Amino acid sequence: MTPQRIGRTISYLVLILIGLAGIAPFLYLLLLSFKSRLDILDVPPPLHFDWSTIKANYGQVIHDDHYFTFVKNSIVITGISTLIALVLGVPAGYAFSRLRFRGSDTWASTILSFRFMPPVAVAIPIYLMIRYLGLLDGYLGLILPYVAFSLPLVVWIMIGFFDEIPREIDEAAMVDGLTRPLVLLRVLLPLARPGMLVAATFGVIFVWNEFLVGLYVINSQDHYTIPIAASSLLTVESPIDWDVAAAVGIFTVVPILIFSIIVQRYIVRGITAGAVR
Amino acid sequence: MATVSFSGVGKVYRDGTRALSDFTLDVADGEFMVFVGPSGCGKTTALRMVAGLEDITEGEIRIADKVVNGLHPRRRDIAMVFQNYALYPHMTVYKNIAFALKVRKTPPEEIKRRVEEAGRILGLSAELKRKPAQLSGGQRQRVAMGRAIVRNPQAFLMDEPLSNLDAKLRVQMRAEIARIQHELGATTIYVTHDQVEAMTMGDRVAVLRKGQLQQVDAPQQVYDRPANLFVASFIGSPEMNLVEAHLERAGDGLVCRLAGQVLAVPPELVRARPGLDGYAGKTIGLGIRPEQLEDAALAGDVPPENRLRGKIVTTELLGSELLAHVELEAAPVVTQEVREVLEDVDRSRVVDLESEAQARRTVVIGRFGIGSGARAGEDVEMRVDTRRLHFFDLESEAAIGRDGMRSGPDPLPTARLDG
Repeated sequence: MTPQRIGRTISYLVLILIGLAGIAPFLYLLLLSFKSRLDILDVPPPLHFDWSTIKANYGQVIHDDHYFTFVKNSIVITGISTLIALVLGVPAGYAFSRLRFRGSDTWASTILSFRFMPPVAVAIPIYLMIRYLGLLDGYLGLILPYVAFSLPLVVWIMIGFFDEIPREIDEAAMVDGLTRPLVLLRVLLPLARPGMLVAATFGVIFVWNEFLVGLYVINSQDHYTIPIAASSLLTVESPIDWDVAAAVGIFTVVPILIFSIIVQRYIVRGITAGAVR
Repeated sequence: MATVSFSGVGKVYRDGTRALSDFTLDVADGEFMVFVGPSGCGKTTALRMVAGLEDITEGEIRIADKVVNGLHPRRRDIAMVFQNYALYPHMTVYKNIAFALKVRKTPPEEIKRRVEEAGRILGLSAELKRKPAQLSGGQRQRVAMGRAIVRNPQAFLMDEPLSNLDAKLRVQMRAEIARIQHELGATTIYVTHDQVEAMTMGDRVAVLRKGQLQQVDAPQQVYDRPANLFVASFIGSPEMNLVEAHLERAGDGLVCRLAGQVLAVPPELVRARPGLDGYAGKTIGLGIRPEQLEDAALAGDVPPENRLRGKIVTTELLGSELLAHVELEAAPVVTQEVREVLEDVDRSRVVDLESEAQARRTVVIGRFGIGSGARAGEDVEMRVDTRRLHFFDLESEAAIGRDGMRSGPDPLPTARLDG
């Protein structure tokens, strides 16, 4: 073997190890969700599967615990709040990137600083505001704060992406006959699509996993999002069923996994486009 | 097509930097006007103000006799070619060229006809379905041109459109742009820092320096009768040789004395430069273009008062001519304007110039015939074509005897005020 091939083999081995380390928790989770309560504490878990156990676990999650409702809630809330954050954040990012107005630099960094605030610091004021607006225990009561949390990141990611696009393209489009808003809509949005997907991904992951504000705002089971529903498995009365919890885990992970697979090629392209070019 | 006129146009940026002052100029219908100058001279700012991409701080710009100061770029009906082309990367060549027409709601069959015609004029017919990333630099440049010509606008604005191309392609595109402009009879303002482009392409050339218009003239006029030291040293390659000389009376005429050597100024030149006589007894800047210097051995019978002697420092054989770098015993002209031009080329040139000035020696360049036996290290006698000498006031830096021309400071301000 030539030194080159040895080097390549070693680097592949390392990569495979890293990959395994990354995927192991998911596989373990999947495995656990297929086991009965009694088998769950065996280490390593036995590799024989029983279709009836699988059916029982998932059946309980889907039928008794109404998990599809929670998945639906999460998808609706995540989708709408990310969409609103994009609709507001993309033009804002464009404005900060292109226009000079009074305090534009100050405002851009102020907006970013909002993001430094952990949700827990503002959870109670948010709860009070939502209650005052009469939006407790509904989609809108969660969507509004989630938009507020996602927006700074969307704005900042978009500023970066718009900065990468030469200003002359805007100018050419204006000379060609477009107003600023139309320049954004017809010329720049197609160019900034990777940036929008990156921003959307960060927003989606944050909102999907958000727990604390959801816990304060949502009371009725009908409106639970997945993280809140998952936490309700643990109650004072009953010890936790790890097999069911694992099935819930799978429900939490799969939608976001599908989303990531769809957008990942854009994200990789987007991140490199933003950083290297 | 239409006229474009600037009257008293000025630009001050928000941070207080002044980019352009009191810029007044009329571009005629169908004229090819070139704005030329070193970087930071305000030429691009002036162009962008016509396009509406830069606010106009002072004065007025008119397109087709309509004041456009407050108009959005899209309402000015102009087309612009950018330095980096600014093609829309996600659109095909066809869509890039068609875009402005589509925005203006031109009927589809009309768009198709015009885009295909533009493609044909520019030799892009085979490329229409490709995207900009798949094109070479020259092809992208053509697409940018296509985007402009398809519109049939009031005026074309071009901001250094050839500066991203390599030298050979630049020469070719230079001719092509000039041809297309001529074919369409389009009013064009073309910005460049390359004085060769300015000379070869423009009907007229406007030379700018530090936001101020120095001279507007036909290229040959700018070359033959530069308004001041700045224009003289900026236009021409190799640049004009500038040495200090003492103007003296000799009999009825005038002579220039350079150290121990004397050059006679022909009487018709003295007549053609009113005011030159008044400089007798003073030190002036003497300008000699390289082609006015010839190896005396090749020039036949040359009277001594048309000769200069010097020592050859180096020679460059160019095939068609021989560039001889000859050291004269005379101080070079060192003024602010000359410095600026050199600085724009390379800072080290300023240092060279200053050390020459200290030694009171100047290396001048002569374009010798190919038969010249000039060798480095030898002394050479040069014939000077004294009919085309240039004279400059060293104080005001203006050319002497350019009455009635819009130029830099007046060489004889008091005389003007009396009249």
